Amino acid sequence: MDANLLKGNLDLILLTILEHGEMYGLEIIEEANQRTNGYFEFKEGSVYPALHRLTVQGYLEANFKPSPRGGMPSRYYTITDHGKKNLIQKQAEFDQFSQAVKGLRLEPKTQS
Amino acid sequence: MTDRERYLKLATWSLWGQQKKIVRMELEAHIEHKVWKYQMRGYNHTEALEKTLADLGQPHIISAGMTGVYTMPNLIRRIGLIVLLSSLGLTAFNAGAQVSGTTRLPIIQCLSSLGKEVTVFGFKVQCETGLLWINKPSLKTTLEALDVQVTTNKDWSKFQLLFPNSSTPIEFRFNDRSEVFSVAPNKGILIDPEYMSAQMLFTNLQFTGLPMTLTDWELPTISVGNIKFQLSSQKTPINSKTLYFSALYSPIQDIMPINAINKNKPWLMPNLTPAGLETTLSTKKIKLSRDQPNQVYVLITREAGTNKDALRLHQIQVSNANQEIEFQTGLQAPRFVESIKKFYDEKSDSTNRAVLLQFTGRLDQYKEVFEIVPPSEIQVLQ
Repeated sequence: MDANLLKGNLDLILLTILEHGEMYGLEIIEEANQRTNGYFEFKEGSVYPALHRLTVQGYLEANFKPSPRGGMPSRYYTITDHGKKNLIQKQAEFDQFSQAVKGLRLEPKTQS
Repeated sequence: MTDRERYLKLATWSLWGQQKKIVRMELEAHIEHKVWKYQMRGYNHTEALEKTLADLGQPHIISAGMTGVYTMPNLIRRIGLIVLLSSLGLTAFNAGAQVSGTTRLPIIQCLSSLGKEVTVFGFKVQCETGLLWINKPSLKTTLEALDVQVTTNKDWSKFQLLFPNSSTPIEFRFNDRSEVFSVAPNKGILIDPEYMSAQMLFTNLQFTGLPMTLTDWELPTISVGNIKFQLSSQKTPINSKTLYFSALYSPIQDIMPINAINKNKPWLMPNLTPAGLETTLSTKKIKLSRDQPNQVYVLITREAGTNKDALRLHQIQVSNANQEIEFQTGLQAPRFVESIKKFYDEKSDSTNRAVLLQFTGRLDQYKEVFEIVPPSEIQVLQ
């Protein structure tokens, strides 16, 4: 996948993954990978600044909680109401953009 | 230092206080968890750690990304204060500087309130040891002439450097939250993507893997491997204190964690408002019994505020030919200690504690940026 395309839509991807429940960083990365059969190849370190930015912007909330396997506590992210509204808006924008790009394509002429 | 520790240090290099602690804890948990997963798949610990860190990517990418989230917005707030001071009749000015003799490198120095104390990066400092902005196009021209590969995009939101003999490109990314705000005469804050802070430059240059130094006071020279350049010339001098402050702030913060003082809220910076600290400062002349003139020193004192102790980072100073340095301090009789541990020791009386750091000139090795001057070599003259 084009890295710029991934970067440009990182917020949308992260908010979508977190839409239905809280997750910590590594879980989010693995979830993105699994749901898309490896289509999204994150450099893992790049996800954390994005998660922190979304938290600062109020789209996510974050709290340390005990890790499911023990050991150090993990920082869990939850989407906020503000984040959900932003997600709906971003999804609509993305769908519009996607439709518009599709509309640019010319149908191949059928040979008679 | 272990690879893991080194990675965490580099990834959180540009942060401080609460943010630094949170990011470090989060990355530690990530590394621990991923290493465990690799070990479950049959890798030994060393292999598992190596793969985990490779998956995370270069630490300076994380550091730069986090800088965009936390550091720059903080800076913008600080600048807001400075502009407020400007609006009260104090002026900002634009100083030019020159690099390697030929290239003019415009630099905006925050000297909006000359001689006045303002809060910069959470420390109360003289404004002249505050902010320094470097013009990216000029820096590009200068470094390219020295065989450094410089890659940028049109809007200067990406700025990448690859130094000769280094295999690690240094990439600065300026997203829409980290645009560099500059202070210009009579114009207040400008959103100017052509400028980057000198602190950001220094913070990131240490990732090249090459020896890096900052030497000389009159004409400060930065060297990265075999590449040497200056941010000033005799015709267009730069304020050396400003430059050294930009270079030394992060290393100081690393060895002198300000969050260690506030025991109740360990993530918060200590209160450095005038109400919390003694604001009457007096000049103290210090005589050193070491035969090394023109050395750069930083004095840090621990002073009792109204609610809690606070750190005061004093002007960065250079010693004269008589091995003397002068500092402004609120302490009547600074009591110098020989270690950071003693500086922070909670068991004994903290009043009047001070530590004097001598800059070694090296910026590449974390542990070797400063030496603590032993109290036996310090004499307070007045």
